[in-house]
Amino acid sequence: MSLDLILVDDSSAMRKMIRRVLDVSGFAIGRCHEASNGRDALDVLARERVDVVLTDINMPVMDGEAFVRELRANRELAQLPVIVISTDSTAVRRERLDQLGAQGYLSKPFTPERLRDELERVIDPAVLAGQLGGIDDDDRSF
Amino acid sequence: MTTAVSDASKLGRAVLDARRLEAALTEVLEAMFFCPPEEVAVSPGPGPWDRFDATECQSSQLNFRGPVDGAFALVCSKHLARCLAESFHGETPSAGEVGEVLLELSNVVCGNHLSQLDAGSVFALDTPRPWDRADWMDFAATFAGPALEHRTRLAVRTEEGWIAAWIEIAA
Repeated sequence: MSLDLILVDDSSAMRKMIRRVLDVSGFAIGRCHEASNGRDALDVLARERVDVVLTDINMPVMDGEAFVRELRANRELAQLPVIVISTDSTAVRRERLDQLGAQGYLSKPFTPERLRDELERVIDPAVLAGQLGGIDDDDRSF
Repeated sequence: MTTAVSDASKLGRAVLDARRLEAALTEVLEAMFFCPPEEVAVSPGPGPWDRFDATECQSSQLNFRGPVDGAFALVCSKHLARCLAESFHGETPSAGEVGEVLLELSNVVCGNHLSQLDAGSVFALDTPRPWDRADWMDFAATFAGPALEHRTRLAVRTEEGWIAAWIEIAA
């Protein structure tokens, strides 16, 4: 069983890099949707099912905080696991996202192990069953 | 380690602290680009950065808003930008990807720097953009001219060349 997800970041470079990290994180990645802001991500999520959301905070049109708020207000998407990936590592920001309902938080720069730990922590164990493999030791740090 | 900064003037000084900025730049270059700095120059006068220009170099700038407003920019040779993009993606980058990666580098460095200053201060970062002609003229004046109280400038040398950074706060 593979993991379907959506990457929400206004930087195409960062989306590509996260895909690369995911490839060496030990998960079998299925469909990997992408969006450049929260609004576009909501459009994607209206028609596609995913297991987890990875989102940046600072984005045009709809930022990460507004996006998480919209997700939690949507009955269909309210339980969807969300991991925030941001350069902002302040306690205030983390608490704010936690209160909004984001289950995971990853500060850039991060390692594949950290991403894997966050995915394992927030995703339903039933979805994770049979997912995890090994991390490529030659490609551990990003 | 985060150091508490209690008011706006202290926070402004922390934003302009070259050592803190250097630490953020170094951490990101090492962790995301496998490109550790080999030498650092703070408030540089004449030096390699004097040869930076719009035809030979790549740039990125973003504005930030919060308890202190300001701007942050990076500039380096196109060769170094290409090397950084190759490290970032693990493959030969397209021309567009080279520019995108430098934009993201500026975003991550600035975000890291600002979020290390004070646990209670939240900043919003605008989308980074490459410099236009006026920005390049300002850059030349910044690095050739005298130090300004509200602006910090530094440059680090990597194996593949120099990368210059400056950060300024609203006066």
